[in-house]
Amino acid sequence: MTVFSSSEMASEVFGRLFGVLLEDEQFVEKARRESLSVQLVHSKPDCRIFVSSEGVVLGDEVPFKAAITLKMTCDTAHALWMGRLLVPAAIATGKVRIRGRIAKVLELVPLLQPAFDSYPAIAAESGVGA
Amino acid sequence: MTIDVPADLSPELNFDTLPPEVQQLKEEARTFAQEIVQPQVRQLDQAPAEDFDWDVVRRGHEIGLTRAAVPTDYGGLGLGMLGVATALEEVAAVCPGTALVFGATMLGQAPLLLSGDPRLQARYLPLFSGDEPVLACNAVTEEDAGCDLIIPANAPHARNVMTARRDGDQYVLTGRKRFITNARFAAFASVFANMEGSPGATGLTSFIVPLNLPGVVRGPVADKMGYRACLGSELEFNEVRVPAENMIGGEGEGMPINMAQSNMARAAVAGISTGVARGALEQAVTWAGERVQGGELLHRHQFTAAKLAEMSAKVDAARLLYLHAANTVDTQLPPPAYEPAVAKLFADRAAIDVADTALSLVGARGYLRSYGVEKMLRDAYGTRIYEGTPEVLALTITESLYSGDDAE
Amino acid sequence: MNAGPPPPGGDGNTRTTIPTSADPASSRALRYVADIIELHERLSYRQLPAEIAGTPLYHAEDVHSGLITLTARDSQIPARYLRGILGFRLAQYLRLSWISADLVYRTAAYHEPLPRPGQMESIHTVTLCSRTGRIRGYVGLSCSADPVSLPLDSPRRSLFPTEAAHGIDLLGQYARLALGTHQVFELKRFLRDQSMPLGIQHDRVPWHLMLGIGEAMIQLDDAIRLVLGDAKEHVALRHLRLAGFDLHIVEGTSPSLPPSDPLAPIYHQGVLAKPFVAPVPEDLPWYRDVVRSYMDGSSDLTSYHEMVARLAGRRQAADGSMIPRQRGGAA
Repeated sequence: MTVFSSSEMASEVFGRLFGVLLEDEQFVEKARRESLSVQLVHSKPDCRIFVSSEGVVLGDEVPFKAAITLKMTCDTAHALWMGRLLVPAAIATGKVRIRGRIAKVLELVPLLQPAFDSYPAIAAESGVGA
Repeated sequence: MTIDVPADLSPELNFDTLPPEVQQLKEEARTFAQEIVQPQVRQLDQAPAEDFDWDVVRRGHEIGLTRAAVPTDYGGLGLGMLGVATALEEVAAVCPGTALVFGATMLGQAPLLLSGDPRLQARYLPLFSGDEPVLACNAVTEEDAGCDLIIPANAPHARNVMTARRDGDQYVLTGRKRFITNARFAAFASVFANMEGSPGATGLTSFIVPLNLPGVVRGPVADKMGYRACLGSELEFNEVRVPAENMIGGEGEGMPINMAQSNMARAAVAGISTGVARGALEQAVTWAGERVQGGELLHRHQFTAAKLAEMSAKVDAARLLYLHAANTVDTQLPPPAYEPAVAKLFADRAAIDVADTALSLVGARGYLRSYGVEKMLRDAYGTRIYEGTPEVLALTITESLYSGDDAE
Repeated sequence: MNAGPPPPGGDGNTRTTIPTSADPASSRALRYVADIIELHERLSYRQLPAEIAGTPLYHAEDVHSGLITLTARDSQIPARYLRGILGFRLAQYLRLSWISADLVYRTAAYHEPLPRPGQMESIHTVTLCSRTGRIRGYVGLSCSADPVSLPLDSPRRSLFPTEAAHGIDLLGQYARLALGTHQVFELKRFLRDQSMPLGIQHDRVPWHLMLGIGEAMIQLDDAIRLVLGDAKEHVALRHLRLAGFDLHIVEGTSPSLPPSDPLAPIYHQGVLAKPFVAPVPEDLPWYRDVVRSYMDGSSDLTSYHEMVARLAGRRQAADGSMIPRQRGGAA
């Protein structure tokens, strides 16, 4: 039984989450300076998100070639953002797979704190399983 | 069965041109190796085991060899394994022991890089950004546990592994590590210990441990066959208390982290092996270009020419393999297992083969300590031991042949 | 082989005492900041003089006390050194409890924020121990946040941080001088290494810092015409007066910063800093020469007190009063 009941639910929650991140000046400045763009490919259910310093795009149509691609299930994403699954364990065990400029990814992770802070409330508001 | 051939071997790597910042460090490393290390190389090799040349290390630190993989946000160069491997090849072509001082430091930093924990990174990674050299080390191997700590299937059978237990907001570490490069002088170690109560090494957990904590004892230095410019010694942990926030990942998550950092490191270590092979080849080429026998320069004799050709091909092949491996490590997380293992397996063998052939080519002089070729052969055997023996690498490669891509 | 290695734990100073708390989260924050303080005690920058891009605004070595002082702009300082300098500032403020340990922990900071690219450049003066390379003192001249230089009485100009914290306008009174905001700099973080023992370095660091900013002001001439900031009476204000600055001090303000500002604790002290502003004195070279000649031993002054007396004597001779004051009010 997955945490997200539909692709729409997953898109809404993760879309809002990355919207919060784009309100953080530090993240946006870093993303712009390093020309960083991220494609998140969630599965079970399917949900694809493109994030750049310009904004968030949801859906399967590719708006740009992302510098970094992250692949994980929605359940893994939920556990990560809730702080129940730690980043190094997720990466080392292959629950999260990343392609692209890894050095830049590792530099970006510390800037994700606003998203970690916001996610529990966003998930709860959308009725995502606890 | 057919084996999948990657459709897109090197999506971001042009084998003819390195990224400019990688090329810059490579050139600076070459200058460092030739102008600073080369004049000292015999002294570095023949000095007593406990001797350590901080002046050489300081000069390497100045060009960034201790912080090549540290992100720029923490004062590092922000280069991936491609930058590290190409630079270490240059240093290893003169002295692999010196190269390993910096390689082992990078290995000690690797769990921090993988941790995704900004506070842990901020407390330790900027140490390498000052002007005084700072070293790190990676503490895995123990008296009774070597491969058992890097082959997951062996973990339940590991014996007498160093332990960790939780006590309030701290972990208490007890045990002893052996053959740890840089342990003598490192500021901190990435340490792998087994949670008390977990059988064998099934509860392996990763910690960052400052080595000035009470209970840490830096043990005797090993008198090694080669790699004598770096020091390998014991590290004893007598009920050493580390803050809970120094754990990387969670309890029992140490094995995958250890594997991930090994996969990263093997790409760079293959660079060191390639450097050993290249250094031996260079000595052989020099000799065969000067020595006259039978009225001809040695390299014009067919037997010698055949040997030089084989050696050269092996060096070039080893280089291409580690460049490809480093590039895949730099563009994928978790770091892939296959490419770095293949690169190291090949480069380690190439180092021994090329150094052995160089020794035979140079003849009697090659047998003298003063000439320098026998040193390369002694060093070549060392590379085969650390970060995965041929047997461990073979298991890793074979497992990759039979596993699918993207488990989820 | 060469001499033994540097001690793994630093230069032998005792480990920073780590305060504890019953609250695990607070304990972690306190441990974190203790580690950051210790990190910066360990870092040294002996090569900094050689790594400055271009010609520094000031570079001098005091062989008597083993101190080297450098003044340079943001862009002249390589990135890792700039982080180190900003880290020194953070570490000293943490020691003084003038910055929120909790916010530093939450943001995983290990240095104060880097300058934003594209704006005017700030000027940094750093005094290093020539033997160890450790930073022993720092003072900054922080530039205006205005993208273009605006008249001092422009309603569109950005307030300097001191003005915002104290709720006052320090510059309007100088509008008649037809200066722009890019000619105004805020004196910030006039700091000594808090772990430095008493002795000759301890005594001389503040004056080397003053020489650094003084020389920058002389060299840059019209580019720096006014200096403002806030400081305590017996620390920076005293040094500025002795260096010839005719300080306009505002009394009776109630400075504060929002709780979300890491620097909010700086205004929770018993003795508060007072906001000031002053034109760069025209005779600043005279003051520089007196201080420099005393420090390098080339003058007839034989003691620190004699130097102070000579400096103070010039100002008193000039106008009889050194301390114009004004009551505080809204900006």
